Amino acid sequence: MTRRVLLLVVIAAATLHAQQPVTSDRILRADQEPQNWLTYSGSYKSQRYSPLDQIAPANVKNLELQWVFQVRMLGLNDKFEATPLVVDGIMYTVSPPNDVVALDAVTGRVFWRYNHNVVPAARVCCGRVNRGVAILGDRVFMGTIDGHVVALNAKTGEVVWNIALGRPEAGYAVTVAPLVVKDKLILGPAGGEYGIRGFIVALDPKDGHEIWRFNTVPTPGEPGSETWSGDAWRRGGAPIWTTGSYDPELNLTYWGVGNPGPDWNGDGRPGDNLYSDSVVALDPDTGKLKWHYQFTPHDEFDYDSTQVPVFADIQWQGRMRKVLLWANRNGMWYVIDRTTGEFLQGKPFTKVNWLNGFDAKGRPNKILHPTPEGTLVFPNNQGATNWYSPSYSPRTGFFYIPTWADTWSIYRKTPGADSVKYTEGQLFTGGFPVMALPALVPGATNDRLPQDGYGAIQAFDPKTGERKWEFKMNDVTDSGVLSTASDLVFAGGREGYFVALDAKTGTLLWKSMLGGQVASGPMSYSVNGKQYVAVSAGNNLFVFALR
Amino acid sequence: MIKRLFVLAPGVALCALVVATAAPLRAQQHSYTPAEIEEGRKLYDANCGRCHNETGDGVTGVELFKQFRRATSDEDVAKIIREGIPGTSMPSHAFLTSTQALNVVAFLRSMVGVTPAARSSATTTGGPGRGAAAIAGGDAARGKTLFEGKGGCTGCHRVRGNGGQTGPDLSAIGQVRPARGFDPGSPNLPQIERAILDPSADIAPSYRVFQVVTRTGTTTRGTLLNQDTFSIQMLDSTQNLRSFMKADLREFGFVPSPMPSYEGKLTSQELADLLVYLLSLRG
Repeated sequence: MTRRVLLLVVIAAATLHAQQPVTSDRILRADQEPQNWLTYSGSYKSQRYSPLDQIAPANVKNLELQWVFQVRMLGLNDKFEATPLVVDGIMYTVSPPNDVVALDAVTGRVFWRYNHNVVPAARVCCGRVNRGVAILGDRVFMGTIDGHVVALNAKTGEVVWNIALGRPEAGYAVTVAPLVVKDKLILGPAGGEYGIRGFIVALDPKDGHEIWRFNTVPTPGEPGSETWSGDAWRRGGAPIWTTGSYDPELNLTYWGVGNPGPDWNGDGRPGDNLYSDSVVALDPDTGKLKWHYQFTPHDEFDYDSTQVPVFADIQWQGRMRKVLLWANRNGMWYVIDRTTGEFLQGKPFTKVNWLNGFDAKGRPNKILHPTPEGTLVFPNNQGATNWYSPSYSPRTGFFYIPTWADTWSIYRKTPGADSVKYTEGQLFTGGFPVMALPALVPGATNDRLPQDGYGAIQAFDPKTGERKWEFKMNDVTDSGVLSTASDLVFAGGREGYFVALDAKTGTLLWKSMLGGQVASGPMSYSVNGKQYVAVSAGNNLFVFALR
Repeated sequence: MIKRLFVLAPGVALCALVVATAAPLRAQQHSYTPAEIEEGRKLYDANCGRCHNETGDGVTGVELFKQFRRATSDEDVAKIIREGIPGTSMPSHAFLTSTQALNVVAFLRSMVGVTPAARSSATTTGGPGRGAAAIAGGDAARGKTLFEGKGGCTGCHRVRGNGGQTGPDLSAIGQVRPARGFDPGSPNLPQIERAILDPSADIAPSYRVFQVVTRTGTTTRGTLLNQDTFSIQMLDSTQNLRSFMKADLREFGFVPSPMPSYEGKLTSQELADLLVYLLSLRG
């Protein structure tokens, strides 16, 4: 009887909350409503950590499928990369190309669907993808692969406004899940393979008008423009395609920036090419740069730094520091002071041969370059990790990295500033590197040799730099990682397995074969006291809970 | 570094060169000049390689260097390149002229029979292989006699229907193909020579021998078809499809090529004869 009353109270509370619009204040205090998932990485700290603990190591073996949501059949290179948001029992997600859906998070039944009519001019280098929506007030916001941003009514799916952020004919596409900070919507365009010029913008959620813009490739005369030469800045790339983070105490928003263009031939862009392959810390009110750190100066290996900036507040050499943990596509993982941008540590998390160390300020000493005859580089072009969300558990203190381990590419180029011609709408990259692994999607079968690399989830202790464990997978992984307050880690991979691991030891506790590659970050929510874990794989979104 | 590359790159073997030719494209419908093919290569690298990969098989289910799924004529392929395929990830490339699109087709046609292994390992400079010097004074007729007699090659390999079937068919091992990227093009002399002298250095996937040993001691050999973190799928030596859970296995992995090394077993003259004979086999 008592239990029943308690249940009714919980339901009543959930129902009451259901009518409350999402405010930036709610996102700020996401920890206080663990039943919801209000922003791409779960909170502004971007730890992809759920405070829910109903599903635990002792009972995770009892997970069973609750429902499946099937999306429009994907194209060959398309991937279902979105992380759903859940607000008071309603789930919002996006499937390729730009279909938004509102679902009942308990049954998977559809409340409404919005299909964006993508113009034929849209260009995407690597399949049609979208990583999710943002929500503020009664509106849901989505970027589109034809360079638009659309605001929808969260109750009906009707379009409230629709603005163009960049020209799709020139390769501007929006794949990132926007970040709501205070009363602004922050995002930027992808298109680093088409010679775009990247930027981060703040839009007004009311009507979509631009409030500020930070050029990730500076205009001549702006700070950082000295790291470009000639007209290279006009098509310098430096795109945005993973969601940033926000520290309200420092009033800074952090964003990872993508590769310079052309990807694999830097002869036409001498210099460091700021702010490509960097993390930038911006004032969210003005867009002014507070600090930056460049992971890969003058990149020639397509090592986008489009990773989620993960927060940790840790003891570092005797004192508490607010840091960013950053596992980079270039094979190194970093600890960076997020107040000042100071480089504290950079260590390889797999085989890396393109650098032989750092100077005192953290500038890498790059020792390899593409050559006409070919240069063998570890990690490979797709990176030791990529946009896949890592996780940090404040309970274990471990940083969990989805890893492509020991992979290589051979980079060759035709030397000369003019060897890669820019034509609007065409790929602006240089010669595609050789590698043993399929770049974007797994093949039907995998009979590769062990020395071609493997996939893994690795756990590192940022305080010591020590690797605590590794969960090896035969094939590589495009999956994000979710950690929970019950010391579980959820992840998947290209093989189609979705697994639950012991967060302390990496021991496999549960697995389910989903039949399609996991190319998204798992997330967790609860409705009426029941915890769910959701992940997309192949053409479907799968939702599990305890039986 | 080169040595490391030599070890890692899924390189060329006698077997590898032949496997891809077993599933040829339709007969070429045009003649293309080397300049057209080269132009097509550049266009492919700039516009196609990101998805389709250096190997032509970057998109699941599509093997551009083997066969086209949706087109028969070169003009059809060029049309698809320019217009894309609605409802799929294949975008239009209307910025290419018809001639440029046909040059891309020319390049695709030129890649028939060139395996991924051949391209990615062609930078290898280490290991056996002396290039043109290896065939100096070679005689194809003597090589054929050696191949069918003392060499014992026909025990496993067949040429135009004669010989065993456990090794790759060598009927087109000498097929002419253009240079591309890391691939030095024809003849495949260094790779063929290496395959004879060091057969286990690189083996085409379908001819690698995979072995599993169960915890109860049962050994099974065959061809690895697929694998993942927890299981293995193979075609065993008795042509049965088998699936194993790794948890049930004591050991599993590739074993060396069943082909013996001919290092030290052939004189320089015999090796030259054999190589000249193999290079004469053009399908």
